[in-house]
Amino acid sequence: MTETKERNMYEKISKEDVFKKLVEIFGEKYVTNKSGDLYPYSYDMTECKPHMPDFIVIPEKTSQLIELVKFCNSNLIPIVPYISGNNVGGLTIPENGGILVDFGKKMNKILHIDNIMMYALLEPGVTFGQLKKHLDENYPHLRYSYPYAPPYAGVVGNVILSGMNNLSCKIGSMGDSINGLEVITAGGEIVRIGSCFYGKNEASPDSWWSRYPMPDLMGLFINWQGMTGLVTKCAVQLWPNLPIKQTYIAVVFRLTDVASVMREVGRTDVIDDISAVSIEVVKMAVEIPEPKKFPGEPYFAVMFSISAKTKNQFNARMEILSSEIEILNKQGKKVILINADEYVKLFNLRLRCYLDLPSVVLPLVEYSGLTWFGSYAPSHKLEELIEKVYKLFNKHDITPFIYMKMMKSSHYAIFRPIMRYNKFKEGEEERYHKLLEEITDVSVDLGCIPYKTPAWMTEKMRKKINPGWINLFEKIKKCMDPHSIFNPGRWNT
Amino acid sequence: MISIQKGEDLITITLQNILSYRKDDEDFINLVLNWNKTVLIEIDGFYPVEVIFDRNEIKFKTKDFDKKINLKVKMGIYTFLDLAFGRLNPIKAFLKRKFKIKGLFKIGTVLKFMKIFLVTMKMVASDPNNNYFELNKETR
Amino acid sequence: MVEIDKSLMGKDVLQLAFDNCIRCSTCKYSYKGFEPSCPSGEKFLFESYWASGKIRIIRGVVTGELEWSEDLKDAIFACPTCGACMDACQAPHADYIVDMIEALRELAVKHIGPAKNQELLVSRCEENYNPYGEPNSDNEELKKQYDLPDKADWVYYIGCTSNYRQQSLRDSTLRFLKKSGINFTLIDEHCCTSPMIRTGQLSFVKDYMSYNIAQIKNTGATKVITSCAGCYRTFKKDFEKFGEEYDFEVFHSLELVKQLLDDNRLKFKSEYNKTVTYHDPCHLGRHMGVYELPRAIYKQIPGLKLVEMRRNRNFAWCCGAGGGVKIGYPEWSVEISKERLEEAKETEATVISSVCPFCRTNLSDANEHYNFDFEVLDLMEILDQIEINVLNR
Repeated sequence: MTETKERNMYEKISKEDVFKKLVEIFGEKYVTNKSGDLYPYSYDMTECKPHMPDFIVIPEKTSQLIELVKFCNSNLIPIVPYISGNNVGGLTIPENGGILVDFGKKMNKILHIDNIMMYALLEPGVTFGQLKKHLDENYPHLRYSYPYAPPYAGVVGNVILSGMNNLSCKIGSMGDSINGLEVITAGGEIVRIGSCFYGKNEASPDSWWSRYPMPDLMGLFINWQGMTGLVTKCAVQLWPNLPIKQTYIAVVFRLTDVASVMREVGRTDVIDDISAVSIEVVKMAVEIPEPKKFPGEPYFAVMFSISAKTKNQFNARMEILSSEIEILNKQGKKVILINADEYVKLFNLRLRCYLDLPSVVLPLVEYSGLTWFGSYAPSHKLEELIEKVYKLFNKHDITPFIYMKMMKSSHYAIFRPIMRYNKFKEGEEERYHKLLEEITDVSVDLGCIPYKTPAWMTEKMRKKINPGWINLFEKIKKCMDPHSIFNPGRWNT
Repeated sequence: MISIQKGEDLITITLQNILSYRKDDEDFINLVLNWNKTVLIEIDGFYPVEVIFDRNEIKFKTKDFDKKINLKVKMGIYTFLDLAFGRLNPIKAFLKRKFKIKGLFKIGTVLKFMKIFLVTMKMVASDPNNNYFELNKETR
Repeated sequence: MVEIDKSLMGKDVLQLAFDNCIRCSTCKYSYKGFEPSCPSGEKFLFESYWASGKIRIIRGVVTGELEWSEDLKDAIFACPTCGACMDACQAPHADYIVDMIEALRELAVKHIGPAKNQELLVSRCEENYNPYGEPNSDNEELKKQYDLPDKADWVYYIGCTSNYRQQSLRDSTLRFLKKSGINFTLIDEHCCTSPMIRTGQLSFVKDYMSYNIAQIKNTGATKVITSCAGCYRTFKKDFEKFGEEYDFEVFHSLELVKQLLDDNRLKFKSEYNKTVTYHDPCHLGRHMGVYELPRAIYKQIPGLKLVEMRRNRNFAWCCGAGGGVKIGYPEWSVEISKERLEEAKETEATVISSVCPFCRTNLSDANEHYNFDFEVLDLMEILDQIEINVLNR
């Protein structure tokens, strides 16, 4: 565990004085510097190097955070945002110490659901489960979309880091579904971005209906991993909750055929979500921790989620899906399409963890460590990606765990090889990290762009990125955060 | 007490799940105990699996099958699901050649297999509980 | 390689802290219910107070990354071990989370001692064999009062809370047992050791367990019945964990009531015309999986209208008494019960009932302290208020 000597933070102001100030801002109950309280925040599920924060604060109001930002900016103290720490990228590990802001515990209110314009205005700490419950009880005709993340993961963290959910074949990245943000910039100023920008003081709850068409400042905060400001409110789009919902599973018997299955079905424009997992992942869900693929078994299982307003609409969509599968079979790709609800009932109900979102994806919580190469991928490269990465898993004698999605009617894909491992077994973290590095090299070479990136990954990416982008990125970062207080160290800043 | 081998491939996992549903059911135990037969099940598009009923054990094989198989059953995945969910009955499935049986002349074996497997499959399919997280947990 | 002190009772479960838990936070609210479920997390908020945080503390103290200090006490001991986290967690270690917390406490007691006042549980037992510090009752007076023999088929294990704090519950149970016609007796009890196990103070746990087993054996009884969920859980689960074997069966009193109802031997001669809401005690509900049995009894009582609180069965909000919280954090303990009573108020019930004397204690304390006006009654006390006949076999 490294100490916070590098930034010389507590030379200008002592730690004791910082503590006093934090108590003044947040109240004694919501500030801690006890080692036992700090320790659980010092590391996450990944192999990213742990680092203790100096303080944890639990804010309740934006006004508290404004004071905090001004104080930290004057005293060069890092601020690291945290909701539930479920990002698989070390993003909430305070690599330079400082103050970790736990949004998850009190800034977690659902501020407004707009029934007509279909959006939810949320504080950063709102979780998927909480939002689902609220919508089911109060707005059953509206739905949100859910990722393969635990129910207690943050909605706002997911959207501002371009997560992908179970409507992603229809709508694409969750970053595209943000209507508005309220952020605190380095000077302690509140900025409202999107249609909510009207009004000198508070924006009314019904003004968060669009990101456009003003000059788009939202890009200064999306995917920046908290490096440019603190997000204190976020409006996310909701969708009609169609009464008919059904998932189908297609099993694909040749390794790389899954790519064309996903692409072609995605282009039919009738599917809400396309998610593929390697067959080993299917077996992990039924408590076979290190499964093998048997001869004759398919390589991948692809889940297609379809929803419809009427039976006719559903049947029409099914007809399109079925005929696409038939075409693929005629092309020599062996694909079998089955009703997921029925198959899962006979196979093992535990597989419903993939269907009934938000849920805990059981294979992901098997051990004490989890890491991945989660990336946006050019869909025309999927065959090559699958082949190369599959070989890498086998080379390292690690069970292949490949997860993919097709996004926005096949405009692009998600490619995510995942590794679960025992963090505390000697040599395991190094072993899995080695595989992860090799996968990163291969995948970045083929054009993949990882999201929620740990610093070592962005270091590799920087070598490939055009200098113009890097220069502009660094300029913006410097402008937005001149004293580098916002989650410093991310993207090697 | 019936013990059922833990499945490790898609088909044996499915068969294990189906057969385990009634492993504490006295009627099922009486059917299975000492039946001592082998049945080869083949789902079109997948691979054959041998189910071995040996005293109080049910075991599976996906290769090196026994020379003596008492019954061979072949069907497509859609027939498998139709039978389970009551959209097709075995007789109709057989007559429509969707459900093929080798060893049909051993009527006793065939009927017992139907009772053990098809009846159980239908019971699993019609169980309304979809909450896997409520099963097999001490705290529940 | 992680080195865990081999002398610890809980060494095996401490290992689980290293093999599992990615801090997915599923333990933080009820699974698929998405309701607040963790009293310590909801109160103290920092990650260290939730189950995943405690697992991280285990890792820290065992590896030495976290030094033992008084700072760790609240995170370790401010938790009623209600098991809501066990119920919510979907990972392989789910069923062992409370065991892990108890093992962490065992380790903590060795290094920094228990939470404030929890050491009284031990010192009082050392003097009087009960954690309340009351002069030990060998129950001979009660035996005379109820005309009980020395030898019998059943032993009614009263438990310390019933015997020294909730005597109405004890006496209601005794009267019921007499009416039921079962041949039972009482023993000179030592504490079942639940308070000690929950707070990691294990010095005489095995001795007390052996003593109680010997006392029961001396009566010739083959069945033990208790009206305390805590004692029930301890006998059924913890005795085995501590290697203390016995060859009698253990029942909760409501199992006897249910059996008599099923056999058509228990007849109600009067009604209980009140609206009752049932509070699931953690040690009977989540820890032992008993949810429907008490409900089946309430539903058969004529005139009684049973209504459910919003969080019920495995989602039930803890009463706040257990895990050493009542003695270690008394104000917070009653606050936890207050939340439960607020939930009960939403049902418009006038009676809140449970089948655990410790729940009865804490709910009563909150009822009085916060001026709710519930009747807080055990099921046995409700039955005591109704005219009943138990027919002979």
